[in-house]
Amino acid sequence: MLKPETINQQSKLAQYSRTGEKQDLILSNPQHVFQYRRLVFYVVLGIMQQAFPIAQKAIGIESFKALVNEFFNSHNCKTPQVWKLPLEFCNWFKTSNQVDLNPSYLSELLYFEWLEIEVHTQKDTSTEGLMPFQGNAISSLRLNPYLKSINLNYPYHKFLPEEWLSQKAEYPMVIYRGVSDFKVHFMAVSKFGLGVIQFLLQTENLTLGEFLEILTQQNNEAQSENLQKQVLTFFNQLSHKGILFEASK
Amino acid sequence: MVKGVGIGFRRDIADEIIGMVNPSPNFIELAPENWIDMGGYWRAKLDEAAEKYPISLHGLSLSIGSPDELDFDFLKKIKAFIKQYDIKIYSEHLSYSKCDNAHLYDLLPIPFTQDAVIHIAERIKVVQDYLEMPLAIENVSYYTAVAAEMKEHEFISEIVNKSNCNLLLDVNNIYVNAFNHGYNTKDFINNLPLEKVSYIHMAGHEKVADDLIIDTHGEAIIDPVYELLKWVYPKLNNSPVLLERDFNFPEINELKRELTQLHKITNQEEVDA
Repeated sequence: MLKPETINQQSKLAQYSRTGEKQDLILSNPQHVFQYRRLVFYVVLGIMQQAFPIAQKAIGIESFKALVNEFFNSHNCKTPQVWKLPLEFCNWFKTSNQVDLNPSYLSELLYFEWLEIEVHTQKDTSTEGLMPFQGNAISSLRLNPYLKSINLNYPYHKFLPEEWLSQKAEYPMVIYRGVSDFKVHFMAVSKFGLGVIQFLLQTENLTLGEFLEILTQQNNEAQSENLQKQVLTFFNQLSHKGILFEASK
Repeated sequence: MVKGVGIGFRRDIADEIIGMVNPSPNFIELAPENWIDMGGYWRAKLDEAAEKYPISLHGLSLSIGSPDELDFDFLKKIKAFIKQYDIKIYSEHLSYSKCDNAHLYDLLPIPFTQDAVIHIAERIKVVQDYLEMPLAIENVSYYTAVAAEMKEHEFISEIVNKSNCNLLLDVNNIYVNAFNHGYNTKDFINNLPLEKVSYIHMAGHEKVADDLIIDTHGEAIIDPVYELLKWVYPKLNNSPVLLERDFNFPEINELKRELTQLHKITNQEEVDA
Protein backbone atom coordinates (compact mmCIF):
# COMPACT_ATOMS: atom_id res chain seq x y z
CA MET A 1 0.00 0.00 0.00
CA LEU A 2 1.28 3.42 -0.90
CA LYS A 3 2.22 5.73 1.95
CA PRO A 4 0.28 8.99 2.16
CA GLU A 5 3.46 10.99 1.53
CA THR A 6 4.12 9.07 -1.71
CA ILE A 7 0.55 9.63 -2.89
CA ASN A 8 0.85 13.26 -1.87
CA GLN A 9 3.98 13.80 -3.96
CA GLN A 10 2.47 12.04 -6.97
CA SER A 11 -0.69 14.07 -6.67
CA LYS A 12 1.24 17.32 -6.38
CA LEU A 13 3.37 16.60 -9.43
CA ALA A 14 0.22 15.75 -11.38
CA GLN A 15 -1.47 18.92 -10.15
CA TYR A 16 1.55 21.01 -11.12
CA SER A 17 1.63 19.40 -14.56
CA ARG A 18 -2.05 20.15 -15.07
CA THR A 19 -2.09 23.72 -13.82
CA GLY A 20 1.48 25.03 -13.74
CA GLU A 21 0.80 26.17 -10.17
CA LYS A 22 3.78 25.72 -7.87
CA GLN A 23 3.53 22.78 -5.47
CA ASP A 24 5.49 21.66 -2.45
CA LEU A 25 7.54 18.92 -4.12
CA ILE A 26 10.71 17.13 -3.02
CA LEU A 27 12.80 17.21 -6.20
CA SER A 28 16.37 16.35 -7.12
CA ASN A 29 16.37 18.88 -9.98
CA PRO A 30 13.72 21.50 -9.19
CA GLN A 31 14.87 23.66 -12.10
CA HIS A 32 13.68 20.98 -14.53
CA VAL A 33 10.24 20.22 -13.15
CA PHE A 34 8.63 22.77 -15.49
CA GLN A 35 9.38 20.36 -18.34
CA TYR A 36 6.50 18.22 -17.09
CA ARG A 37 4.06 21.08 -17.23
CA ARG A 38 5.31 21.98 -20.71
CA LEU A 39 5.19 18.42 -22.07
CA VAL A 40 1.82 17.53 -20.59
CA PHE A 41 0.10 20.74 -21.67
CA TYR A 42 1.46 20.62 -25.21
CA VAL A 43 0.19 17.08 -25.73
CA VAL A 44 -3.32 18.24 -24.88
CA LEU A 45 -3.04 21.52 -26.79
CA GLY A 46 -1.71 19.67 -29.84
CA ILE A 47 -4.64 17.29 -29.85
CA MET A 48 -7.14 20.15 -29.56
CA GLN A 49 -5.46 22.20 -32.28
CA GLN A 50 -5.59 19.22 -34.58
CA ALA A 51 -9.24 18.54 -33.75
CA PHE A 52 -10.54 22.11 -33.90
CA PRO A 53 -8.63 24.07 -36.56
CA ILE A 54 -11.64 26.20 -37.55
CA ALA A 55 -12.51 27.11 -33.95
CA GLN A 56 -8.92 28.00 -33.23
CA LYS A 57 -8.72 30.24 -36.28
CA ALA A 58 -12.05 31.86 -35.45
CA ILE A 59 -11.26 32.86 -31.86
CA GLY A 60 -7.50 33.27 -32.28
CA ILE A 61 -4.60 31.14 -31.10
CA GLU A 62 -4.17 32.82 -27.70
CA SER A 63 -7.86 32.61 -26.77
CA PHE A 64 -7.94 28.99 -27.89
CA LYS A 65 -4.86 28.18 -25.85
CA ALA A 66 -6.40 29.85 -22.79
CA LEU A 67 -9.56 27.81 -23.30
CA VAL A 68 -7.63 24.54 -23.50
CA ASN A 69 -5.69 25.56 -20.40
CA GLU A 70 -8.94 26.21 -18.50
CA PHE A 71 -10.31 22.87 -19.69
CA PHE A 72 -7.24 20.95 -18.58
CA ASN A 73 -7.13 22.76 -15.22
CA SER A 74 -10.73 22.27 -14.30
CA HIS A 75 -11.74 19.04 -16.00
CA ASN A 76 -10.59 15.55 -15.02
CA CYS A 77 -9.79 13.96 -18.37
CA LYS A 78 -11.54 10.60 -18.38
CA THR A 79 -10.50 8.82 -21.54
CA PRO A 80 -7.24 6.85 -21.65
CA GLN A 81 -7.27 7.43 -25.42
CA VAL A 82 -6.15 10.96 -26.09
CA TRP A 83 -7.68 11.08 -29.58
CA LYS A 84 -11.10 10.87 -27.94
CA LEU A 85 -10.39 13.86 -25.70
CA PRO A 86 -11.85 16.45 -28.12
CA LEU A 87 -15.33 15.07 -27.33
CA GLU A 88 -14.70 15.68 -23.62
CA PHE A 89 -13.63 19.19 -24.54
CA CYS A 90 -16.91 19.77 -26.44
CA ASN A 91 -18.98 18.48 -23.55
CA TRP A 92 -16.99 20.44 -20.98
CA PHE A 93 -17.34 23.65 -22.99
CA LYS A 94 -21.11 23.24 -23.34
CA THR A 95 -21.57 23.04 -19.58
CA SER A 96 -18.86 25.44 -18.44
CA ASN A 97 -19.12 29.17 -17.79
CA GLN A 98 -16.88 29.61 -20.83
CA VAL A 99 -20.00 29.46 -22.99
CA ASP A 100 -20.95 32.97 -21.84
CA LEU A 101 -17.43 34.32 -22.29
CA ASN A 102 -17.00 33.20 -25.89
CA PRO A 103 -18.84 33.78 -29.20
CA SER A 104 -22.28 32.18 -29.23
CA TYR A 105 -21.35 29.92 -32.16
CA LEU A 106 -18.38 28.28 -30.43
CA SER A 107 -20.15 25.40 -28.70
CA GLU A 108 -21.83 24.34 -31.93
CA LEU A 109 -18.67 24.82 -33.98
CA LEU A 110 -16.63 22.62 -31.63
CA TYR A 111 -19.26 19.90 -31.87
CA PHE A 112 -19.43 20.27 -35.66
CA GLU A 113 -15.67 19.80 -35.90
CA TRP A 114 -15.85 16.82 -33.56
CA LEU A 115 -18.49 15.19 -35.78
CA GLU A 116 -15.97 15.07 -38.61
CA ILE A 117 -13.57 13.16 -36.35
CA GLU A 118 -16.35 10.91 -35.08
CA VAL A 119 -17.46 9.94 -38.57
CA HIS A 120 -13.87 9.53 -39.79
CA THR A 121 -12.91 7.23 -36.92
CA GLN A 122 -16.24 5.46 -36.37
CA LYS A 123 -15.85 1.73 -35.87
CA ASP A 124 -16.37 -0.28 -39.02
CA THR A 125 -19.68 -2.07 -39.43
CA SER A 126 -20.68 -4.62 -42.00
CA THR A 127 -22.04 -3.16 -45.22
CA GLU A 128 -22.69 -6.58 -46.69
CA GLY A 129 -25.90 -6.70 -48.68
CA LEU A 130 -26.01 -2.96 -49.38
CA MET A 131 -26.76 -2.19 -53.02
CA PRO A 132 -27.05 1.12 -54.82
CA PHE A 133 -30.51 2.65 -54.40
CA GLN A 134 -32.57 1.86 -57.49
CA GLY A 135 -36.04 2.84 -56.34
CA ASN A 136 -37.17 -0.74 -55.76
CA ALA A 137 -40.42 -0.48 -53.76
CA ILE A 138 -39.91 -3.70 -51.80
CA SER A 139 -36.26 -3.24 -50.84
CA SER A 140 -35.27 -1.74 -47.48
CA LEU A 141 -33.98 1.79 -47.49
CA ARG A 142 -30.57 1.82 -45.83
CA LEU A 143 -28.53 4.88 -44.96
CA ASN A 144 -24.77 4.96 -45.02
CA PRO A 145 -23.86 3.65 -41.52
CA TYR A 146 -21.20 6.36 -41.09
CA LEU A 147 -23.49 9.36 -41.12
CA LYS A 148 -24.40 12.22 -38.79
CA SER A 149 -26.90 14.99 -39.40
CA ILE A 150 -26.94 18.41 -37.80
CA ASN A 151 -29.01 21.55 -38.18
CA LEU A 152 -26.36 24.24 -37.87
CA ASN A 153 -27.22 27.71 -36.69
CA TYR A 154 -24.21 29.35 -38.29
CA PRO A 155 -22.76 29.02 -41.81
CA TYR A 156 -19.20 27.89 -41.09
CA HIS A 157 -19.03 26.36 -44.54
CA LYS A 158 -20.30 29.39 -46.42
CA PHE A 159 -18.99 32.57 -44.81
CA LEU A 160 -15.94 34.01 -43.12
CA PRO A 161 -15.93 33.90 -39.28
CA GLU A 162 -16.67 37.61 -38.94
CA GLU A 163 -19.96 37.09 -40.82
CA TRP A 164 -21.21 34.05 -38.90
CA LEU A 165 -23.12 35.90 -36.20
CA SER A 166 -24.96 38.16 -38.65
CA GLN A 167 -25.87 35.17 -40.84
CA LYS A 168 -27.51 33.16 -38.07
CA ALA A 169 -30.19 30.93 -39.60
CA GLU A 170 -30.74 27.23 -40.22
CA TYR A 171 -28.13 25.31 -42.21
CA PRO A 172 -28.99 21.61 -42.27
CA MET A 173 -26.01 19.45 -43.00
CA VAL A 174 -25.12 15.78 -43.43
CA ILE A 175 -21.63 14.51 -42.61
CA TYR A 176 -20.74 11.05 -43.80
CA ARG A 177 -17.84 8.75 -44.57
CA GLY A 178 -17.51 7.06 -47.92
CA VAL A 179 -18.21 3.36 -47.44
CA SER A 180 -15.25 2.33 -49.56
CA ASP A 181 -12.96 5.36 -49.82
CA PHE A 182 -13.12 6.28 -46.07
CA LYS A 183 -13.20 9.99 -46.95
CA VAL A 184 -15.42 12.33 -44.96
CA HIS A 185 -17.90 14.35 -47.02
CA PHE A 186 -20.26 17.17 -46.16
CA MET A 187 -23.59 17.78 -47.87
CA ALA A 188 -25.85 20.75 -47.33
CA VAL A 189 -29.49 19.63 -47.43
CA SER A 190 -32.87 21.34 -47.18
CA LYS A 191 -34.81 21.32 -43.95
CA PHE A 192 -37.17 18.84 -45.60
CA GLY A 193 -34.20 16.67 -46.59
CA LEU A 194 -32.86 16.77 -43.05
CA GLY A 195 -36.27 15.66 -41.78
CA VAL A 196 -36.31 12.74 -44.21
CA ILE A 197 -32.82 11.64 -43.18
CA GLN A 198 -33.59 11.91 -39.49
CA PHE A 199 -36.78 9.91 -40.03
CA LEU A 200 -34.80 7.19 -41.82
CA LEU A 201 -32.23 7.19 -39.01
CA GLN A 202 -35.01 6.45 -36.54
CA THR A 203 -36.66 3.71 -38.58
CA GLU A 204 -35.16 0.38 -39.51
CA ASN A 205 -35.61 -1.59 -42.70
CA LEU A 206 -38.41 0.58 -44.03
CA THR A 207 -39.08 -0.12 -47.72
CA LEU A 208 -39.48 2.65 -50.24
CA GLY A 209 -43.11 1.59 -50.64
CA GLU A 210 -43.73 1.86 -46.89
CA PHE A 211 -41.96 5.21 -46.73
CA LEU A 212 -44.08 6.67 -49.54
CA GLU A 213 -47.22 5.31 -47.91
CA ILE A 214 -46.38 7.08 -44.65
CA LEU A 215 -45.82 10.26 -46.65
CA THR A 216 -49.23 9.88 -48.28
CA GLN A 217 -50.98 9.27 -44.95
CA GLN A 218 -49.55 12.45 -43.49
CA ASN A 219 -50.46 14.75 -46.38
CA ASN A 220 -53.35 15.39 -48.74
CA GLU A 221 -53.37 13.90 -52.23
CA ALA A 222 -52.05 16.92 -54.11
CA GLN A 223 -49.29 17.48 -51.57
CA SER A 224 -48.39 13.80 -51.53
CA GLU A 225 -47.84 13.58 -55.24
CA ASN A 226 -45.52 16.58 -55.14
CA LEU A 227 -43.70 15.31 -52.05
CA GLN A 228 -43.21 11.87 -53.55
CA LYS A 229 -41.50 13.45 -56.55
CA GLN A 230 -39.31 15.52 -54.23
CA VAL A 231 -38.45 12.49 -52.16
CA LEU A 232 -37.49 10.37 -55.16
CA THR A 233 -35.32 13.16 -56.54
CA PHE A 234 -33.71 13.57 -53.11
CA PHE A 235 -33.16 9.81 -52.75
CA ASN A 236 -31.46 9.71 -56.13
CA GLN A 237 -29.17 12.54 -55.02
CA LEU A 238 -28.38 10.70 -51.79
CA SER A 239 -27.71 7.54 -53.72
CA HIS A 240 -25.37 9.35 -56.08
CA LYS A 241 -23.44 10.70 -53.07
CA GLY A 242 -23.14 7.29 -51.42
CA ILE A 243 -25.55 8.18 -48.60
CA LEU A 244 -28.56 6.02 -49.49
CA PHE A 245 -28.56 2.34 -50.36
CA GLU A 246 -31.12 -0.42 -50.52
CA ALA A 247 -31.02 -4.00 -49.33
CA SER A 248 -33.22 -7.05 -49.75
CA LYS A 249 -35.78 -7.22 -46.98
CA MET B 1 6.97 -13.72 -33.90
CA VAL B 2 8.53 -10.43 -32.84
CA LYS B 3 12.30 -10.66 -33.36
CA GLY B 4 15.07 -8.74 -35.06
CA VAL B 5 14.68 -5.02 -35.59
CA GLY B 6 11.37 -3.19 -35.74
CA ILE B 7 10.06 0.32 -36.12
CA GLY B 8 7.31 2.35 -34.48
CA PHE B 9 4.20 2.42 -36.67
CA ARG B 10 3.18 6.08 -36.81
CA ARG B 11 0.51 7.59 -39.01
CA ASP B 12 2.84 10.14 -40.57
CA ILE B 13 4.96 7.36 -42.04
CA ALA B 14 2.41 4.52 -42.20
CA ASP B 15 2.54 4.10 -45.99
CA GLU B 16 6.33 4.30 -46.05
CA ILE B 17 6.58 1.60 -43.38
CA ILE B 18 4.12 -0.65 -45.16
CA GLY B 19 6.10 -0.32 -48.38
CA MET B 20 9.55 -0.43 -46.79
CA VAL B 21 12.17 -2.70 -48.40
CA ASN B 22 15.96 -3.14 -48.09
CA PRO B 23 15.73 -3.26 -45.21
CA SER B 24 12.16 -3.76 -44.16
CA PRO B 25 11.45 -3.91 -40.44
CA ASN B 26 11.02 -7.35 -38.91
CA PHE B 27 8.09 -6.08 -36.88
CA ILE B 28 6.21 -2.92 -36.01
CA GLU B 29 5.25 -1.47 -32.66
CA LEU B 30 2.24 0.69 -31.89
CA ALA B 31 0.46 2.28 -28.96
CA PRO B 32 -2.85 0.41 -28.56
CA GLU B 33 -4.53 3.56 -27.21
CA ASN B 34 -4.15 5.17 -30.62
CA TRP B 35 -5.88 2.34 -32.49
CA ILE B 36 -8.45 0.72 -30.22
CA ASP B 37 -12.06 1.58 -31.25
CA MET B 38 -10.86 3.21 -34.42
CA GLY B 39 -12.43 2.33 -37.74
CA GLY B 40 -12.20 3.70 -41.25
CA TYR B 41 -9.06 4.71 -43.06
CA TRP B 42 -6.65 4.17 -40.18
CA ARG B 43 -8.06 0.80 -39.21
CA ALA B 44 -7.62 -0.28 -42.84
CA LYS B 45 -4.00 0.94 -42.73
CA LEU B 46 -3.38 -0.95 -39.50
CA ASP B 47 -4.85 -4.11 -40.98
CA GLU B 48 -2.69 -3.67 -44.07
CA ALA B 49 0.40 -3.36 -41.87
CA ALA B 50 -0.70 -6.33 -39.74
CA GLU B 51 -0.86 -8.45 -42.89
CA LYS B 52 2.80 -7.73 -43.47
CA TYR B 53 4.43 -7.47 -40.05
CA PRO B 54 4.10 -8.98 -36.56
CA ILE B 55 3.02 -6.31 -34.07
CA SER B 56 4.21 -5.48 -30.58
CA LEU B 57 2.26 -3.13 -28.30
CA HIS B 58 3.76 -0.30 -26.30
CA GLY B 59 1.12 1.27 -24.08
CA LEU B 60 0.80 4.84 -22.87
CA SER B 61 -2.15 5.01 -20.50
CA LEU B 62 -2.07 1.98 -18.22
CA SER B 63 -0.44 4.21 -15.61
CA ILE B 64 1.07 1.30 -13.73
CA GLY B 65 2.67 3.61 -11.16
CA SER B 66 -0.47 5.56 -10.36
CA PRO B 67 -2.04 5.78 -6.91
CA ASP B 68 -5.41 5.44 -8.73
CA GLU B 69 -7.14 2.12 -9.27
CA LEU B 70 -6.33 0.11 -12.38
CA ASP B 71 -8.82 0.72 -15.17
CA PHE B 72 -10.29 -2.69 -16.01
CA ASP B 73 -12.56 -1.36 -18.74
CA PHE B 74 -9.44 -0.18 -20.49
CA LEU B 75 -7.58 -3.44 -19.80
CA LYS B 76 -10.49 -5.37 -21.27
CA LYS B 77 -10.06 -3.45 -24.52
CA ILE B 78 -6.31 -4.05 -24.46
CA LYS B 79 -6.91 -7.76 -23.99
CA ALA B 80 -9.31 -7.91 -26.92
CA PHE B 81 -6.85 -5.99 -29.10
CA ILE B 82 -4.05 -8.36 -28.11
CA LYS B 83 -6.20 -11.28 -29.13
CA GLN B 84 -7.35 -9.70 -32.38
CA TYR B 85 -3.82 -8.98 -33.61
CA ASP B 86 -2.12 -12.00 -32.03
CA ILE B 87 0.20 -9.83 -29.95
CA LYS B 88 3.12 -11.50 -28.18
CA ILE B 89 4.75 -8.45 -26.56
CA TYR B 90 2.91 -5.83 -24.54
CA SER B 91 5.07 -3.27 -22.81
CA GLU B 92 4.30 -0.24 -20.68
CA HIS B 93 6.20 2.55 -18.97
CA LEU B 94 7.40 2.46 -15.39
CA SER B 95 5.74 5.78 -14.70
CA TYR B 96 2.28 7.20 -14.12
CA SER B 97 0.06 9.15 -16.47
CA LYS B 98 -3.13 9.31 -14.42
CA CYS B 99 -3.66 10.72 -10.95
CA ASP B 100 -6.59 12.01 -8.91
CA ASN B 101 -8.90 10.43 -11.49
CA ALA B 102 -7.51 12.50 -14.35
CA HIS B 103 -5.40 11.40 -17.29
CA LEU B 104 -2.33 13.50 -18.12
CA TYR B 105 -1.26 11.88 -21.41
CA ASP B 106 2.44 11.97 -20.59
CA LEU B 107 4.79 10.03 -18.35
CA LEU B 108 5.43 11.36 -14.85
CA PRO B 109 8.23 9.97 -12.67
CA ILE B 110 7.24 7.76 -9.76
CA PRO B 111 8.91 8.39 -6.38
CA PHE B 112 11.64 5.76 -5.98
CA THR B 113 10.32 4.41 -2.68
CA GLN B 114 9.85 0.97 -1.15
CA ASP B 115 6.09 1.38 -0.81
CA ALA B 116 5.90 2.28 -4.51
CA VAL B 117 7.88 -0.87 -5.35
CA ILE B 118 5.36 -3.05 -3.53
CA HIS B 119 2.37 -1.16 -4.92
CA ILE B 120 3.60 -1.39 -8.52
CA ALA B 121 4.79 -5.00 -8.33
CA GLU B 122 1.31 -6.00 -7.12
CA ARG B 123 -0.35 -4.09 -9.92
CA ILE B 124 1.90 -5.65 -12.54
CA LYS B 125 0.98 -9.09 -11.23
CA VAL B 126 -2.72 -8.23 -11.48
CA VAL B 127 -2.28 -7.00 -15.05
CA GLN B 128 -0.27 -10.06 -16.06
CA ASP B 129 -2.87 -12.37 -14.55
CA TYR B 130 -5.69 -10.53 -16.28
CA LEU B 131 -3.99 -10.44 -19.68
CA GLU B 132 -2.59 -13.95 -19.28
CA MET B 133 0.76 -12.80 -20.62
CA PRO B 134 3.87 -11.14 -19.23
CA LEU B 135 4.15 -7.38 -19.18
CA ALA B 136 7.46 -5.74 -20.08
CA ILE B 137 8.10 -2.51 -18.21
CA GLU B 138 10.29 0.23 -19.59
CA ASN B 139 12.86 2.25 -17.68
CA VAL B 140 11.65 5.78 -18.45
CA SER B 141 13.53 9.02 -18.88
CA TYR B 142 12.91 11.65 -16.19
CA TYR B 143 14.04 15.19 -15.65
CA THR B 144 13.90 15.29 -11.88
CA ALA B 145 13.54 12.55 -9.31
CA VAL B 146 10.61 13.04 -6.90
CA ALA B 147 10.93 12.22 -3.20
CA ALA B 148 13.43 9.46 -3.99
CA GLU B 149 14.50 7.15 -1.15
CA MET B 150 16.40 4.64 -3.24
CA LYS B 151 18.43 4.53 -6.43
CA GLU B 152 16.70 4.20 -9.78
CA HIS B 153 18.33 0.88 -10.66
CA GLU B 154 17.28 -0.55 -7.27
CA PHE B 155 13.74 0.66 -7.86
CA ILE B 156 13.53 -0.95 -11.31
CA SER B 157 15.24 -4.18 -10.27
CA GLU B 158 13.06 -4.71 -7.22
CA ILE B 159 9.88 -4.19 -9.19
CA VAL B 160 10.99 -6.59 -11.94
CA ASN B 161 12.05 -9.23 -9.43
CA LYS B 162 8.99 -8.93 -7.19
CA SER B 163 6.48 -8.96 -10.03
CA ASN B 164 8.36 -11.38 -12.26
CA CYS B 165 7.65 -9.14 -15.23
CA ASN B 166 9.97 -8.54 -18.16
CA LEU B 167 12.14 -5.52 -18.66
CA LEU B 168 12.04 -3.30 -21.69
CA LEU B 169 15.53 -1.85 -21.77
CA ASP B 170 15.37 1.63 -23.26
CA VAL B 171 19.00 2.32 -24.07
CA ASN B 172 18.41 5.93 -25.04
CA ASN B 173 16.62 6.59 -21.74
CA ILE B 174 19.64 5.27 -19.85
CA TYR B 175 21.87 7.62 -21.81
CA VAL B 176 19.50 10.56 -21.20
CA ASN B 177 19.13 9.83 -17.49
CA ALA B 178 22.84 9.27 -17.00
CA PHE B 179 23.49 12.70 -18.50
CA ASN B 180 20.68 14.45 -16.62
CA HIS B 181 21.38 12.82 -13.25
CA GLY B 182 25.11 12.25 -13.44
CA TYR B 183 25.58 8.51 -13.37
CA ASN B 184 27.57 6.01 -15.40
CA THR B 185 25.53 4.22 -18.06
CA LYS B 186 27.40 0.92 -17.90
CA ASP B 187 27.36 0.74 -14.11
CA PHE B 188 23.64 1.43 -14.24
CA ILE B 189 23.01 -1.32 -16.79
CA ASN B 190 25.15 -3.81 -14.89
CA ASN B 191 22.92 -3.28 -11.87
CA LEU B 192 19.76 -4.20 -13.75
CA PRO B 193 18.32 -7.74 -14.01
CA LEU B 194 19.50 -8.21 -17.58
CA GLU B 195 18.25 -11.78 -17.71
CA LYS B 196 14.73 -10.29 -17.63
CA VAL B 197 15.24 -8.04 -20.66
CA SER B 198 12.84 -9.15 -23.37
CA TYR B 199 12.74 -6.09 -25.55
CA ILE B 200 14.90 -3.05 -26.36
CA HIS B 201 14.13 0.51 -27.41
CA MET B 202 16.46 2.82 -29.30
CA ALA B 203 15.69 6.46 -30.07
CA GLY B 204 17.05 9.94 -30.53
CA HIS B 205 16.90 12.83 -28.10
CA GLU B 206 17.52 16.56 -27.92
CA LYS B 207 19.95 18.43 -25.69
CA VAL B 208 18.04 21.55 -24.70
CA ALA B 209 20.45 22.98 -22.11
CA ASP B 210 23.96 22.37 -20.79
CA ASP B 211 22.49 20.20 -18.06
CA LEU B 212 19.39 18.74 -19.72
CA ILE B 213 18.54 16.27 -22.47
CA ILE B 214 14.91 15.71 -23.40
CA ASP B 215 13.84 12.28 -24.66
CA THR B 216 12.05 13.57 -27.75
CA HIS B 217 12.09 10.61 -30.15
CA GLY B 218 12.41 13.35 -32.74
CA GLU B 219 16.04 13.06 -33.77
CA ALA B 220 18.36 10.38 -35.14
CA ILE B 221 20.04 7.99 -32.70
CA ILE B 222 23.46 9.33 -31.75
CA ASP B 223 26.67 7.29 -31.84
CA PRO B 224 27.15 6.96 -28.04
CA VAL B 225 23.70 5.35 -27.82
CA TYR B 226 24.60 2.92 -30.61
CA GLU B 227 27.83 2.19 -28.75
CA LEU B 228 25.92 1.48 -25.57
CA LEU B 229 23.63 -0.96 -27.37
CA LYS B 230 26.64 -2.61 -28.99
CA TRP B 231 28.17 -3.06 -25.55
CA VAL B 232 25.06 -4.41 -23.84
CA TYR B 233 23.51 -6.50 -26.62
CA PRO B 234 25.77 -9.57 -26.18
CA LYS B 235 24.64 -9.70 -22.54
CA LEU B 236 21.00 -10.03 -23.59
CA ASN B 237 18.97 -12.87 -25.07
CA ASN B 238 18.77 -11.72 -28.67
CA SER B 239 15.95 -9.46 -27.64
CA PRO B 240 14.09 -7.61 -30.41
CA VAL B 241 15.16 -4.00 -30.92
CA LEU B 242 12.75 -1.22 -31.78
CA LEU B 243 13.58 2.05 -33.49
CA GLU B 244 11.34 4.74 -31.99
CA ARG B 245 10.68 7.83 -34.06
CA ASP B 246 7.59 9.85 -33.10
CA PHE B 247 8.16 13.37 -34.45
CA ASN B 248 10.21 15.33 -36.94
CA PHE B 249 10.20 12.47 -39.41
CA PRO B 250 13.11 12.39 -41.86
CA GLU B 251 13.18 10.90 -45.34
CA ILE B 252 12.49 7.18 -45.17
CA ASN B 253 16.06 6.43 -46.31
CA GLU B 254 17.32 7.99 -43.09
CA LEU B 255 15.14 5.62 -41.04
CA LYS B 256 16.34 2.72 -43.19
CA ARG B 257 19.92 3.72 -42.44
CA GLU B 258 19.12 3.55 -38.71
CA LEU B 259 17.44 0.17 -39.12
CA THR B 260 20.54 -1.08 -40.95
CA GLN B 261 22.76 0.11 -38.11
CA LEU B 262 20.57 -1.69 -35.61
CA HIS B 263 20.56 -4.86 -37.71
CA LYS B 264 24.35 -4.78 -37.75
CA ILE B 265 24.52 -4.46 -33.98
CA THR B 266 22.07 -7.26 -33.37
CA ASN B 267 24.04 -9.40 -35.83
CA GLN B 268 27.29 -8.40 -34.09
CA GLU B 269 28.65 -6.75 -37.23
CA GLU B 270 30.75 -3.60 -37.42
CA VAL B 271 28.67 -0.45 -37.27
CA ASP B 272 29.24 2.31 -39.86
CA ALA B 273 30.56 5.55 -38.44
